[in-house]
Amino acid sequence: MSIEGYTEYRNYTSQKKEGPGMALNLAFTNIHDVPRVPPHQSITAEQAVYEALQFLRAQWALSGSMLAKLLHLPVNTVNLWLSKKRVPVGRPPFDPREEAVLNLIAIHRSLHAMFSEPPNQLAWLKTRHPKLGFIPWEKIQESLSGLFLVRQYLDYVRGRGA
Amino acid sequence: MIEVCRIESQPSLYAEEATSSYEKALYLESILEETKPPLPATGWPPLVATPFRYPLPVAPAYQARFRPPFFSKNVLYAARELRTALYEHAYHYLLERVHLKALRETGQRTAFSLFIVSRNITDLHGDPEIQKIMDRRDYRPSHAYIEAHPAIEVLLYPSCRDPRQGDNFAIFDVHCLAKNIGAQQTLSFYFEPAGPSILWMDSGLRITWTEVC
Repeated sequence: MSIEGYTEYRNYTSQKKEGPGMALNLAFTNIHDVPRVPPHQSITAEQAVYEALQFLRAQWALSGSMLAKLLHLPVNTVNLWLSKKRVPVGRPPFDPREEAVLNLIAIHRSLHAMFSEPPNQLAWLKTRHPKLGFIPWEKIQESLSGLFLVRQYLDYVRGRGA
Repeated sequence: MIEVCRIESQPSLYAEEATSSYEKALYLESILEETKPPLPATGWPPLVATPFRYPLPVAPAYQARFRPPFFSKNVLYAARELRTALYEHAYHYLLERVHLKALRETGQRTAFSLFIVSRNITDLHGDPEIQKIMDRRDYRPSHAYIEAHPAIEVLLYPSCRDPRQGDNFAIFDVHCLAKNIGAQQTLSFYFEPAGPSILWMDSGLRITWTEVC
């Protein structure tokens, strides 16, 4: 697996907190008593990541091999996860493979917030971006740093109103 | 204290849609949060604190009107009136779609109010260079201005996207904002790719790309 740009990405998240934290966005609710977050590496945790990947696959109509390309992982690894219906993700600090999975899900999460229609999400990914100067879909497949770059950009523009 | 407003897209339902139980949704949101930079301070709601969590110095790709490349501060932008916020939001919304062959779609955004507690507000309305600073496309004058005045806490300036030039604020420190947010309102919109334009359905305000670009 290529780890090009991984150090740069680690700088982006270098001060992140350790351990699972309260992250569900409750800003618009009055809910204060929420269930505990399942622990890292629990079956529930691994199933949650699998289900998110499956959600992404279904919305973007991705084959296992295309998903593997986007994640910079061997097809066999991805197919094994899909057959077991669990994606093993450890605890922070995440390794590059885990970061790739989580960042691809984060890209889908941002595009899902920006565009209600999956074809529009794909149109954004597969069209040359005038400001970025590249096609995000291709950049993601180029390297892990490309994947992280697209994720960071979406985080930023979504905050601006995109 | 000044009440201002922002409009946000809320992805919080994503995890619930992507997973089969609330516990899994909670875990998914939690683990995604762990891949982001930390919030800059405790006590402020994520909606207020999030604009201050982007990595610094500002990467050139993320420059904005008062965020020059390599600047050492983040900025939260807000408007005094909802109408101005609708125009500002429309600009950034359409900016990410104007190059696409996209489908029509509908969606929702959330408007919420927040409060500026700092009294140290710099008003740009009377600045002799205001026309240049508020140029719609050329950010060099606004970058030069903020680099010459790096200690500014809050800027008040006229919107260049709102035809009425309503008041906008740029807040450079989370401590200039109250730790609570005020009223919230769900806004429905319709996106028309031909044009393109966004129609804010509640107010009937249609904003085309050519009006704000």
